[in-house]
Amino acid sequence: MQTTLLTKENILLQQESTSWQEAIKKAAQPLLRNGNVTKQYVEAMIQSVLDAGPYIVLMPGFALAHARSEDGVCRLGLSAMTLNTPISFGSPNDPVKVIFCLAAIDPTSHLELMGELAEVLARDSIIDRLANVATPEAFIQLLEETRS
Amino acid sequence: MGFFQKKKNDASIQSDAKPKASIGKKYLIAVACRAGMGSSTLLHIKVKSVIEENGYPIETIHGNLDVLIGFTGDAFMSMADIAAEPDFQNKPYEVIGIQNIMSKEEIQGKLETFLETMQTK
Repeated sequence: MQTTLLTKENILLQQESTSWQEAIKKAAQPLLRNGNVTKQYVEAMIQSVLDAGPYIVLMPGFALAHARSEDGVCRLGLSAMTLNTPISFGSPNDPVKVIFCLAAIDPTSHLELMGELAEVLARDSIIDRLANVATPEAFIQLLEETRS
Repeated sequence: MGFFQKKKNDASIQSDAKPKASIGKKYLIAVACRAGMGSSTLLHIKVKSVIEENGYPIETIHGNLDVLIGFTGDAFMSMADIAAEPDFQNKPYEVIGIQNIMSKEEIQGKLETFLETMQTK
């Protein structure tokens, strides 16, 4: 998928985490490995929840971990992780089963991606369906399918 | 540069910061969060589609919390936990918190309450 940010390698499935901090760190690993973000960015994603509360848990079961561009984004990137055992962020939208990590370079260049994400997230029981897939291919297929 | 190939005619992701000419009164809502990158970006997309579908007399701007510096519009909208912070109490503008940013019903309900409040002001 040439035009796709969310490659198979950026999708981690059925992971275990003992805390939301650990979950964010894990979910960000592909971005760190690919050089999209620095270690500081991963820490900043965690710090922003510590500072401002779990506002990244945007809807039941789903968190969009992110921080500011200047916190250490080198290149636009997106990774995804599903949790075998859902975890609590201390949000009314707990427990979280699916985490996306966003690394945006500026406020506008990822708007198209966000529009697509909004479409995907608007589908019925999409979080449960994403949480249950067994392969990255199936995960991508679900995202593609929800495009129509 | 998204998940997928470029799409045509996706008007929903364009900024509508410049007010359109209108006869009636239009209200201005700033949709913002700390980074202005993720949470509020998605919320803004959703809010704009609800406004459009219902024909609410509302314009929106979007950004990080800096958009509130010198803000003279009618309301600030964000995720519920940010809206509930002490910083946003007793403001000259309304403060609207959204719990489930993908819930059109919640956004619609809160925008209608906002419009009612503005009419009685």
